Amino acid sequence: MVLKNNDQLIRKRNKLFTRNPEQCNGISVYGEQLKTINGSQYRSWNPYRSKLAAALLKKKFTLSLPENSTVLYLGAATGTTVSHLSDLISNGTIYAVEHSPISMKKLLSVVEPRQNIIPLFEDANHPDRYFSIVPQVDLVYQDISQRNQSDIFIRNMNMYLKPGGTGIIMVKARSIDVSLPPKKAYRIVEHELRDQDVTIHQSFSLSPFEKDHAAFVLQKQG
Amino acid sequence: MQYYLITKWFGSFLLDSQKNIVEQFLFSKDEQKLMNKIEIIRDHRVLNEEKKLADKHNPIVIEKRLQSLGSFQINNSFFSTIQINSESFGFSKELLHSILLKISKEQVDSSLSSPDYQVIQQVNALDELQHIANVLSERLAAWNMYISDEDNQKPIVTVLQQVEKNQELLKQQIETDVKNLAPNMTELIGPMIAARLLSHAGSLKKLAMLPASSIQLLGAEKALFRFKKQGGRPPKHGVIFQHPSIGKAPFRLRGKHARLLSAKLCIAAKADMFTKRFIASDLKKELEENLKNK
Repeated sequence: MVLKNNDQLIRKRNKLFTRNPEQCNGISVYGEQLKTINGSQYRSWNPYRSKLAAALLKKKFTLSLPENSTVLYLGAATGTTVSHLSDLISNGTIYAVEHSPISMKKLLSVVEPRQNIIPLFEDANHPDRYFSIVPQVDLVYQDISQRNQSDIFIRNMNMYLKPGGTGIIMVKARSIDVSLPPKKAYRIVEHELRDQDVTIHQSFSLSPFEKDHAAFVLQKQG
Repeated sequence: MQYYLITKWFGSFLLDSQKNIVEQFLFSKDEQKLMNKIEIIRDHRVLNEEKKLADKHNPIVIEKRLQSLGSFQINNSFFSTIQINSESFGFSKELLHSILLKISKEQVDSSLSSPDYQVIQQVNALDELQHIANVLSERLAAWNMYISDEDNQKPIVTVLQQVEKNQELLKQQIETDVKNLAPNMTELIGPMIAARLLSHAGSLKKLAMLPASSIQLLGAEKALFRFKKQGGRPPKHGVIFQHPSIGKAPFRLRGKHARLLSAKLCIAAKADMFTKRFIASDLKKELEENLKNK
């Protein structure tokens, strides 16, 4: 994947860096390296910690994510990927849904100085419960290790993704079914996605950064 | 004429099928008042504004919360074509950010301070104390192979004594806490196994939602997944094995007893979570009868 975000994202050799906004200068979210490049501060983006970084390093794919995009992020966890995404879309908004109180506690400290993240302590199984907060979005990103993760993704996508918008789903084969070989688990997810009104642009495995994980990049029709 | 009712965090809107706003109520821009509105929405209750808007129109709604006001259609494509922009009504994103930060903080704190989370932490702490005690006593045993200087061992001996003393204390704490939280389950299988079941399920609510067959195998995840991956024989019992009716039963009856016990536990957990009635004495009687009829 290639993100088109001028100087918010820098790629040096095999490392990714995102620009730290001014109010967060000096704050390292998960122990990542801070580096000054061309006079502004950047945070290094660890592909072993963040599946989006892994996907960006794995494949050449153009994802247009303008600075004012809105994103629905399902499974925000402690905010590793969310923080980098928030660097990338500095004028946009990220609606970060997380259901575990322990992860949410850590996420809230990441969210506090970043105005463009809206935290939602909700269960992504019930997308109608945050309808009053979340508008129609440009990107639905999902990283939930649940057996019904494709079902959760589809219901959220139908409700919130603009026609023509992008969906990214990170599939953990081991939570779809431990007894299946990963490739078969991916195929189950792919079949479920194909039944919907979407075009799957790309699907690829995230090894060596993550074991038994795959990314699906798709676009809603219309 | 078909109407649609949409509530956003800054107001309630009634739209017609041409996407025009027919009627609207904007909420106050005062942070505290706005927070109260959002709290009501997040408690799955209906706002007065929504009742007024829906009056006689029988609108289509997308939230299950509002199903009493009109017809609930979660997949209606009308809603995905509507963009009601908060900024055009004078509500800034900074306001939403600061409100949701506060609300989320409150909700996280209330779920972290819940009694079942406390019990789970205590059980895990007890296991860790047990582990420490085992390591230290192993070390002492190895040290004492040859008669050695007691003064040299003093730092370890005092820690070990402390750990053992506090283990007892923690155990008593857990027993009283679990009895208050889940009286039915405690009556059926005793406080320690009930606490362990809780810690495996994650919370009392999750435990109450589990089927009996899952409760039967809580704590036997490793064996269960080994069975699913590689085949062989499936496990018959998880932590409930510690109960004498299973652990002391003849080998061929253990599976049957585990099924009977977990079925009753499943009912007890639901009573503890939802009705809060004490039904354990009846359950216990039934269970004992079932166990006798081999």
